[in-house]
Amino acid sequence: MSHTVDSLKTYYLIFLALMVLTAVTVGAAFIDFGPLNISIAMAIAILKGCLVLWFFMHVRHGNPLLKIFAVAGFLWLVILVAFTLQDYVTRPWQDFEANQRWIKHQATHFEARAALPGNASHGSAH
Amino acid sequence: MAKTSDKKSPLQHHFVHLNQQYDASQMGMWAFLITEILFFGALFTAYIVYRLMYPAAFGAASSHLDITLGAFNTAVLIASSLTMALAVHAGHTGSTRGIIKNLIWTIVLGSVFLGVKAIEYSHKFHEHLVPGPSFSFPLYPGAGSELFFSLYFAMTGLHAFHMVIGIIGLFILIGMAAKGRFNQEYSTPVEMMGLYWHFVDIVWIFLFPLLYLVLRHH
Amino acid sequence: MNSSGKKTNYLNASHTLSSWFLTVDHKRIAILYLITISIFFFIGGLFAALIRLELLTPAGDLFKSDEYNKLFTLHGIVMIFFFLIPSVPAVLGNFLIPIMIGAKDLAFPRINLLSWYIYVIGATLATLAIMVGGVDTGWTFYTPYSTVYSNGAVALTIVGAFITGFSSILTGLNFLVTIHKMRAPGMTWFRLPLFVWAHYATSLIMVLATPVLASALFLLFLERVFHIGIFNPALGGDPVLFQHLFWFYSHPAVYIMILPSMGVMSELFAAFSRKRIFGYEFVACSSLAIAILGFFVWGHHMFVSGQSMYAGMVFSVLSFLVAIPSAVKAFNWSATLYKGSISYETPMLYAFGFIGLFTIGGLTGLFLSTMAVDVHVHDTYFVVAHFHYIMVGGVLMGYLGGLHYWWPKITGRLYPEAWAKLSALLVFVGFNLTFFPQFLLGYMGMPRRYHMYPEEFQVLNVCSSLGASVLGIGYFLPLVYFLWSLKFGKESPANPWGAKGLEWEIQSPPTTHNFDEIPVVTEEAYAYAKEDGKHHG
Repeated sequence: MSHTVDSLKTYYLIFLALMVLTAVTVGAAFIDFGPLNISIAMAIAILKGCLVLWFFMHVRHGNPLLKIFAVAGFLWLVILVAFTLQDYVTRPWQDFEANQRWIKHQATHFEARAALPGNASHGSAH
Repeated sequence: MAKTSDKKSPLQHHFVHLNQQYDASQMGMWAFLITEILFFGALFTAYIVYRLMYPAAFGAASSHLDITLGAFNTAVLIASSLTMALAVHAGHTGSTRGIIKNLIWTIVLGSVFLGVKAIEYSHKFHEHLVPGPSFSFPLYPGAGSELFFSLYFAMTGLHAFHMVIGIIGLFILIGMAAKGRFNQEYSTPVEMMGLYWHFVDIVWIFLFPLLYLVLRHH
Repeated sequence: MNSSGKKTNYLNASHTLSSWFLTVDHKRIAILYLITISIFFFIGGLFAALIRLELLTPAGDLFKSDEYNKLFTLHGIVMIFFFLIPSVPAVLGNFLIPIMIGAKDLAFPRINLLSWYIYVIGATLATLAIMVGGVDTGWTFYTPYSTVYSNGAVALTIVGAFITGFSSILTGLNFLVTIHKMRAPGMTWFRLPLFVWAHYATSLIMVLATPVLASALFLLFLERVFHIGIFNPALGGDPVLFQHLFWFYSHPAVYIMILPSMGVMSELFAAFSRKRIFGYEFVACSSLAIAILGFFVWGHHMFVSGQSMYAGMVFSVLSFLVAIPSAVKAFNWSATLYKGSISYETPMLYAFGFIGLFTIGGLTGLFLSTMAVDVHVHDTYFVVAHFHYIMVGGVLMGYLGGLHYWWPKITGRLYPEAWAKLSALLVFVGFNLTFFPQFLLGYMGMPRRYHMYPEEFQVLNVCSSLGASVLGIGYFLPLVYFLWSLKFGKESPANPWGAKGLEWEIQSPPTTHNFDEIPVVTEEAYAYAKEDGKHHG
């Protein structure tokens, strides 16, 4: 069985790159980029993950089938996240403040109805 | 029964040749890693959902984690990935000594990681940050901070569990290497363990920014 | 290679206890699975019988309501996790896949044995949970009831289901690698029997979906046992998140159950029409299409759960798409019959039953994936009837049909054909009598999971309970005559049906290593001669 044997230099270079990227991500976290902070952190994490996959885990020497396998898991994770999030980001009632306003509005509505003469006995049954 | 009578050959009876056996092991390992991705993936999904719901609570709780220990551990784990890669490399060049030496280094670095993790856990324990009836986080008393710590313990705990399994596996590999089971033709178990170890490293590469670096610039 | 006289085979190769419990032979492991899942089938069936007994009368006179909650929960858990999910793959798939592709064993024989042990451990823990008080959450374990309020042995059951999940993952992983790497020379992808294609698609789901259930149950366990709140609304958690994670597995799990049975169907229709399956490539790819589409539709279980309207609409539309590959299969099987020389042996009766019941189950599934209709019939007996038409009418018909078809190969014995035909008839009639009235009950508004109901529902409920007893006899008969055939059945030739496929070219029962020489495949699957497939080269 013949393996494609990488030179040791490759491994040390990748190790160095991963260390540098770790330092960069820690440093970047302390600077305010607004909403970009999370994007930067994730971009660096994805880059680091790809370096490990590509070089340490030898995906680059793998056959096409292995490459499909290496991608499939992450792809399916994207499906899980994306289709779960399509629920959460489109929920009007997930907006906490709007939710509070709605509850308050309902409450005053029922109080107002309860205050009407003749409705006192069952106005606040809800 | 699974082994052929010829003790020297690692070829199992139902395979035609070593290449087929190697391909099968490699593919099986990758399929296993796919299941691991999705196993951790459900936790990441929960994390994303709750972070969207409670950005402020997650920021406050995350900033309370010890970033020095977290960054140190990240470096330690990346170093252990390097030594693991070197062990696999030694396997391919047929150096049993190289395998054993690098696996020992990997175990040492992995144990350092777990030790630091234990220190972090005990801090959280003393600060009443372990979710449950005694949980209290005065810096952000609103909803969401306890969820952050629930996910912190679930995710890092599961990750640490995988490392413990990995270290046990590394010890077994050292035993196999010492018995002379590996040579230039056959070091598949070392390679498979390498895939597992690197995968656990990748999980941490994502856990570190998500748990420690949410809102540091304030 | 035909059997002649007493030859050694995998059954009589050795007789010690350890040769069974430590075996790495995929065929023996299949037998171990066959025995264990049959036990769980009858346990689950016992719960079903008690449920139907309770529902004979409108008053809740046999069980208290919390006992009834435990009954339907245990019926669901046992049947789904310990019978339906492993049934066809772990028994028939395990036995047949290596033989069908011309291999001596699965890629990882020891992992195969391990997965059986994991299954047994998981199932034993869940059985233990039944003994120490049972569970009353429903098989879905919805939070926060399961984590905060339920008094049952939830934690133990979850651990059981969690562990069993790993058995399923390992089986799927083993099949995937086997089908990729162990095919005999000449066995190209489009020469594979459709049974193997269906199992390939099933294995993909097992590997991609099961870990998410494991993770969801892990979080649920943490919350219940260690009070680490993840889904608890008191801490701001969202119970619906658990439903998302749960159904990400549990909807595709329906296809883990049905796809292998569809694979069995393809074999049966080809063998008993003596024709190549019409549109072979389409049927093969439709299995993959079902497996993949199945991951995009889970939200149709959650239309009334508080998920957003937008998500509901997306999941609803996508759910309709699954009908396309399913219909491709049903139409192509029917088209296979055209101008075939059809024979009506027992397995074919099951195949006909499958097509009818699966079509009803599938079409009512479309009702349920229509959001507006689902809001009306959600959590009624309409849903119960629908998924029983798929899971029992579909999966179980496939399992029994397959078991009858390959029984001579597995045991080397023939079963009594007349009795088998009778049981197939009883199963079909009993099944429809049990579950068709439930469509009507649900549409009229009878909710599921209650042990009492208004009196106007009694006639239909009595019909249903009556059907269940017929069904019970139908299921019990095979147990009797299969066991009888082991001792008294006629010995089977290598190929009793005159069917095509590598499994019919080796002796019945096969030897431990299946093939003396790895075969070289030179022809398509189902290469029946144009006029008569009885004799083949």
